[in-house]
Amino acid sequence: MADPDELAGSTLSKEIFSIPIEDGHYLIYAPLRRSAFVTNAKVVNFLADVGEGIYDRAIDPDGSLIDFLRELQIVDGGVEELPVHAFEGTPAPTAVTLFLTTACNLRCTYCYASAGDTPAKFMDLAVAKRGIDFVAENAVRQNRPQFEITFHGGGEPTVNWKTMTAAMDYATAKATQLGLGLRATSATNGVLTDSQIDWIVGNLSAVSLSFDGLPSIQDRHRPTTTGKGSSDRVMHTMRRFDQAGFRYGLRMTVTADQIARLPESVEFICANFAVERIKVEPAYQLGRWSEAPTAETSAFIEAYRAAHAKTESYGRKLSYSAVRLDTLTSHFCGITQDSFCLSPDGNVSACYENFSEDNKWANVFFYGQPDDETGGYRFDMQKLENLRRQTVNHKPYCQGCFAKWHCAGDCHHKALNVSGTDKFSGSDRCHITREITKDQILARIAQAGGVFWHDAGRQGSYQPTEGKEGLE
Amino acid sequence: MKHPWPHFKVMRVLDDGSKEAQIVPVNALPLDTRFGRRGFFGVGLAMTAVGVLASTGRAKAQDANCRIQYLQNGTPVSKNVPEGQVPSYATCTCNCEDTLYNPANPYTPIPNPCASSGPCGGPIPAGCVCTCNCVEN
Repeated sequence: MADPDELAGSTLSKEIFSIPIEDGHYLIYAPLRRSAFVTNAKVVNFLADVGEGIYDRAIDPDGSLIDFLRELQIVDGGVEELPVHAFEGTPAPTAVTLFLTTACNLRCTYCYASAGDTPAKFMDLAVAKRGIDFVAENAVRQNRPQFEITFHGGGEPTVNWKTMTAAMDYATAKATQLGLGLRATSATNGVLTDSQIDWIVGNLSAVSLSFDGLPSIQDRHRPTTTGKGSSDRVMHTMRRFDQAGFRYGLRMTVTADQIARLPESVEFICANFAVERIKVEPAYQLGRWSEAPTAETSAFIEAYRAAHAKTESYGRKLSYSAVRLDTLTSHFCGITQDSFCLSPDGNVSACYENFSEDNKWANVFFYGQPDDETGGYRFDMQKLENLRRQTVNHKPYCQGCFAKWHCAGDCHHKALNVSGTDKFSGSDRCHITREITKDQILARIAQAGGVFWHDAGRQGSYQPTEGKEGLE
Repeated sequence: MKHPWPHFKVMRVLDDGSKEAQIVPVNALPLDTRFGRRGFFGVGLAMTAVGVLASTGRAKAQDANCRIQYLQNGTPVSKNVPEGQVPSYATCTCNCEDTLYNPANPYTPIPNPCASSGPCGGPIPAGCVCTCNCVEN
């Protein structure tokens, strides 16, 4: 047992949070110590006192409480390294995302890109080649074993099939020439021909496929350009992927009118397809859906919980982008990590949701352009530095939040749309993030035996996040 | 819409009138739970019991054994036992409100067979940790 006389110099972890939960209890969570337990007000006040250098012997007469807190490294746990990593210097990415087109073969009701409503742009092969050359040569300079290429929106990448396949051929040849590996992924809506499916299975490492679950929901919200339902076509693609053992993840979007059916949709997917990872997001109030009712509600949280239970019962994984209990980071996505995405016109954007120079926040997210003198790119370092600063450690609003090292301040683009400035002041997504994060912490305690959770092997440190949402 | 700033850093809260520091056990969320987390929490544990659980958790991580603690003819015994080899108990002399849990299958809280003083209500499942005072067969 602890000797009370030795406790005067005890230090409390700086990153420790007390979260009021049901029945008057408190969830104590130290994210960088990977520790948590549920307790009563006496212990919360004891912790607050320790933080002030006070040891209340009346609450801990035999020292067992302070021993417990030391066991969890909440007290006297040593140096607490913040998971902050800042990018600096001229970007030298080894991964390129090609926004192949703004055209699309679907007319999803909630499309953030309003694909099909704007003039169609198509990337030329020369634009793709320049980007591939740039990242491949960076990989050589950095002694990396591989470089990466991703095909993404605003529109459906496979609509620009000619450039997609030619770019892939070029990247493959480049990798062979330089002795590098190549990882290639794509987002897709899954409305593909059989020959396209064959090509994807034969050439790509993985895809993120958008599918909303029950055929009636898919057909309602993801119709083709002629207004027909797309569920048959997409489910055909998923069956073909399953037959081939091809790795893909699903990206589900939930609109306010379909929240209650989310568990049913998830069960439909699990019962009929082999996909292991399903990512679900409330529909963004952007593009065609900017005036629609929000789905970022408490009803979404309840539906998510029920859907999560369904996926667990099938041994599958359901996730929501801002809840990442196993990730400790200051970066939500690639925008703070020099993400290198090329628009159809060849300019450099950091954000998947800013795919074209005429997007609302293009002046924030577009930070580079082709440099014909060098064959590479010219970067606007002032814009880039502003993007690099959008990490959670620079967001005053987030400093008192227990989820901050997991959500890392969430999506900067959505925050801009909510607040209209880069002074983040919270969003409805924050509530969703906190509730689901709480669920996950409590589940970890239950899984660890029901009394406390302490993952001593994974203390806080920098862990990079993927810039490619949905392509993990 | 305004979003209040989050204030979750540890700070003093209103005392709830409880007499002692307690840790509240967390049960597994049933898969059919639809609304909230009611019924998710057990009865608070005193710190002395928690200390035992904390140290046994550490022991398990180190040697993959389970630690059992009991009274053998009035003498406290604490030892590591390989999972699956924990003996059953015929008698129990404790006034036992302790929580049992099974590190091998932590999703399922184990009903404590020791309802009160007197004989055990049943064998303690293999691999579980018992913090009550039982007499080994």
